[in-house]
Amino acid sequence: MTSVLIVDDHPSFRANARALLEAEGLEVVGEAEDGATALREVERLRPQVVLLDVQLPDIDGFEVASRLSANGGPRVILVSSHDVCDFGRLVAQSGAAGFIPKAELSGAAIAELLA
Amino acid sequence: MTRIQRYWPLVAASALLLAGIAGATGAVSTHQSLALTVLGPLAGLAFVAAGLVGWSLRPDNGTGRLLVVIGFVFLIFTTLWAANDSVLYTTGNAFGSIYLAIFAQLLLTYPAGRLRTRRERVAIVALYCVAAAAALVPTFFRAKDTSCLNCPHNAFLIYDSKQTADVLNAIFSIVGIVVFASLFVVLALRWRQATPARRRVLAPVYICGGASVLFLGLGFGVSFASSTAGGVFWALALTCFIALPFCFVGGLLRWRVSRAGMRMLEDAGSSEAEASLHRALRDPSLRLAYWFEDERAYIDARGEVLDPRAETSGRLTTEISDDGRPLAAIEYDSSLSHEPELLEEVLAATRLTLEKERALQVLRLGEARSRALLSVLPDAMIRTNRAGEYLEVQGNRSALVRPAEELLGLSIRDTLPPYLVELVLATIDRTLSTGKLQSLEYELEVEGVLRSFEARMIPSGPDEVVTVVRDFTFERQLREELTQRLGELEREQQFTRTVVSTAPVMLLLLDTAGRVVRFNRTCERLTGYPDDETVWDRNFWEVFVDEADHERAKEAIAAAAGHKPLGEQELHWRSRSGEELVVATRCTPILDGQGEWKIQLSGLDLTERERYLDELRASRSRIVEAGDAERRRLERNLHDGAQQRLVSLSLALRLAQARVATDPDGAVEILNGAGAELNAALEELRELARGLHPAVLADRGLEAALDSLAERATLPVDLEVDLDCRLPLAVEVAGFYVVAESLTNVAKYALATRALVRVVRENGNAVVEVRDDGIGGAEVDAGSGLHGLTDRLAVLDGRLEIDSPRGGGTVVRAIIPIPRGDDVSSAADVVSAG
Repeated sequence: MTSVLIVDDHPSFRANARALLEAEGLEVVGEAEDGATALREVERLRPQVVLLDVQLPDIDGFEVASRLSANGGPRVILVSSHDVCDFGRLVAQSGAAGFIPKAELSGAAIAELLA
Repeated sequence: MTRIQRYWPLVAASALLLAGIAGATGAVSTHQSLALTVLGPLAGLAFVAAGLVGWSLRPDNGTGRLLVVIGFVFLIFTTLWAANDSVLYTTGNAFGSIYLAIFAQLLLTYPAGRLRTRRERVAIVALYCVAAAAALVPTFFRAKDTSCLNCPHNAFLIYDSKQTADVLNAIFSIVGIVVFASLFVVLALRWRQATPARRRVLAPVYICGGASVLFLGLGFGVSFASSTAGGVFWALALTCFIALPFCFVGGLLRWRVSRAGMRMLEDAGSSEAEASLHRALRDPSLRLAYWFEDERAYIDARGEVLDPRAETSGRLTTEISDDGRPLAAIEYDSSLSHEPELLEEVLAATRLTLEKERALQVLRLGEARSRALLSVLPDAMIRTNRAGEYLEVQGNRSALVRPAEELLGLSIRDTLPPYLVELVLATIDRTLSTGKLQSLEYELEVEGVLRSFEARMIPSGPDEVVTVVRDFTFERQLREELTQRLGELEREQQFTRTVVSTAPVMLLLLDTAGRVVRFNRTCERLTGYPDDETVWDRNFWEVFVDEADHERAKEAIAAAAGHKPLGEQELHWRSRSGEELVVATRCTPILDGQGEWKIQLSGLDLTERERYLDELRASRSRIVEAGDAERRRLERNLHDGAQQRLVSLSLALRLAQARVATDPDGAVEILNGAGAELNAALEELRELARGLHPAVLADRGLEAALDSLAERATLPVDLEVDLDCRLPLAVEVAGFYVVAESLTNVAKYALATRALVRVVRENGNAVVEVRDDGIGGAEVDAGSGLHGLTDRLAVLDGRLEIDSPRGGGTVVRAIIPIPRGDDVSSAADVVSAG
């Protein structure tokens, strides 16, 4: 079972995402509301996948993705309520495995990116 | 008759007697040549005659005397040379050269007639010695002149030695040549140094006398070698010698000719006086200067001062006065002092001319006075009795109501208009009762023309007066016209003064070197410098211009002074208090009232405009920044609010969809939550839409929009709107945002318990006021959004006033002019876009 850490500053999204992913058989091992917490939780929980919001109150989601990828850490999937075309090449340059619009989040979409 | 003239007959008779003896002696002489027999007495007589004339005319000059002496000596020696007696003949030969020395003296002293320096005196003594020794000494050693076989033998022979005699002759010949050559050099130098006037005096005598001396010298020099050659030179010398006194007489005649010039001078006017004097004295360098009482100086026709006390080499000055009163001064060549009679006569003639001129001036002045007197003579004189009956009438027709002869026997009651009759009769009464002069002015129609008169009455008998009437119609018209012109001029000046002093432009008058002459009040006000002597005459740029722009200011002034003005340029001025002013400066050349070129410098103060522009730029920048900030806020609100809720809603719906089969209760719960999320998202979107533009404002007006705001506020808000009709949309929008922003600030910072919103129309303005009972201390620059409101109002020429004492609540008041017409829609667009 794939372990997931959800990083987003909106509690309602974190709750809905956890329920959706767990319903689809993924294991949500933890949640973080900002970038700094996310980095600490990754160290502590060692998730296989980090579901990472682009717009965080402290550190930019792309920056967090770069740091995690540089350390050979978990696979990072960026999420946002914006469309991927709003970010240009930032997604590709961040080292993340891919991008899923928040409204289209699902276990299948994650599995497709990790395949 | 001079003293010498009384002896003329005696001297002339003696000369003629001697000449007769000389002629007779020559006629019987065994050795005298015919030429000398004839020419010798003639030459002697010529000298005596010319000498007598010269002596008579110039008794103080030795020239005449010397000529007479030469004549007599020559007559005596001509007789001795011709004598057949050996003693007389030898005496003549031994001393026969003396007359040459006298002749040389005549040349050296001419025209002064006396020896001037010690050197000249020594030279003359040496000449006499040489002349005496040259003939005498060889005589002692020669028994007989071999060239003259018929000549008597030598009575003075001491030792006959032809060789000795020849040597001595040669020595004295050389000495003679040297002496005469020296004399020639001296005379040549004197000629060279002589002024033109003096050369004219010297020329004939020098030419003739010089030739004579030259031939004599040559004859003297060559006689020892060839008696024939010597004889030829002697004959030539003699001819010149005879002509010489005639040259002198010719010189005297020239004096006489100049007297004709003096007569011309007497006839000449003052403008020609100097030219006449030039001719009379033959001195073109002569200057005639007149005495000017105002300047207390002699000034010539060229305006130059002639100082009679100044000593100039070769020039003399004589003052001409009349009874001790200076008239003129004449500066002339000093050589003219040798002709004192001529000079005196010319000066006398000049004095006469100037006196005539002065008399003429007096006469002309008298004529002018007479004319002036005539011009004020009365136009009519009327004698009347107390009853106003005309007794005698004289005067111009234009000053009388009827011809003079018609008035006699009539009364002023018959001829003058009633109002004037009473006035004149009253004046007659007053004149007779007081016995003193009375005067009155009146207007009267004469021959259809209204004329102005001044009448003066004096008693002329116990019961009659003489009235002197003067017509001053023309003077009155002139006076009125003058007064009118002066009034116009005064108004013109006043207008110019007012315009110049109150024009919003600084105006300065500079001279062409850039020095300040005057400047106007605007310049005083803006620069702080007073328009007085503390600034006048100082360089414009040093007083008014910032040092960095000195060169540009100088260039502008120099260009205007050269009539090529540069046009307008922005210069940085510096006020008296050190404040910098930005001034559009322009220099233009103008002619002032005296016809002199000046520079008009106009300066338009751009400082306020620059400040306004800076403010405008800042305001625009703030509007743009506010717009950007507003868009960022909207994006953030959308992203964090409605967008997130919709994302969650999407996830919830899919979750419910997944559970509806397995867990229907769970699915229903999720759907319930999703419904609440959807409502919240809708509310947030509405709120956002209100923030963009309150729809109710456009649809229902400001009062309805403010009522909505008050309803949603977090504290109680009282609303007072007193508008009889709707305001232009732009004003409503601005007012709405003033209230919205103010209520937001009240809610955030004021800690108030309630607020009052008041909107009224006052003096063409919409006044929107938000008042709270909070802690006060609000400031425009505190990031409260009030700055944005200020900019928003500035677009509509409105303003924001804030009264917010600490602890005393806050009043925010917007005053917005209500524009006329429908052109407010575009402004509304601008406001809503911000």
